[in-house]
Amino acid sequence: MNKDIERDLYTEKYREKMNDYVNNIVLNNPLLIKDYPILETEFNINGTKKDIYSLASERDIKKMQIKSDKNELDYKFSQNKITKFEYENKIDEINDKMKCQDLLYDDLIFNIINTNDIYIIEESILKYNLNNIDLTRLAEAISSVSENKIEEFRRNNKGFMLDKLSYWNYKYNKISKGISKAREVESFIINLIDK
Amino acid sequence: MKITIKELNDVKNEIFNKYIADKEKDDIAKLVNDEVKKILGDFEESKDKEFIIDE
Repeated sequence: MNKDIERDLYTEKYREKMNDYVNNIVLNNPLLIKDYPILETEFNINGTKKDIYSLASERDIKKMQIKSDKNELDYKFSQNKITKFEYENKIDEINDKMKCQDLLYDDLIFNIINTNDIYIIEESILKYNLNNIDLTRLAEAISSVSENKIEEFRRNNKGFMLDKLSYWNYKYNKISKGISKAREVESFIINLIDK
Repeated sequence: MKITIKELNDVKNEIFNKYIADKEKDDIAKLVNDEVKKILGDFEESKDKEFIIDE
């Protein structure tokens, strides 16, 4: 069997184990979040992992911040306060930041769905007692994550050799399970919306 | 500030290496190796059952 596949599988499985360990380490040492601020993306200040609604809301807030940064740039450019070159460079930076952010939050949200029982996810949503607007936003966020993950899978697995078919099937089954769970969560949320 | 999946994973790697003893890391590596061998074994088995394109 191809050495690349073995290496890919090993990396994937090792990372899964490592994540489990790190989750426990952070839970038992929440001050680590102060030492490594990037952890704030995934963890609450008490060391627990952020739930699906927290992640989705934060993503929305950060998206709005980026849009606001873009508007500010547009204004500055329209007022000739920055050159076209500066404007285009900054816009590229902002777009890159948005892209990385989207990928990260897609990953974090999908991971929550993949690694938790459905009822735990549902309970984590119910506790917020969300209104219809927030429920709709949340359902859309999860739908968007599913679509992005399908698109990512298609993009990363376009060409494959026939002798890697088993590996392709393995990856496809894995992503399908996650998408199926995501759709279940989405339906659950939609059913909560008052007609 | 741009935050990427890679940066988050790098930090987790650093924490993992700091807090987990070498012996335990070896045990984890062995466990993962066994898991990967099993999956690869399943691939080999399913190869016999894969479809054959009719010419």
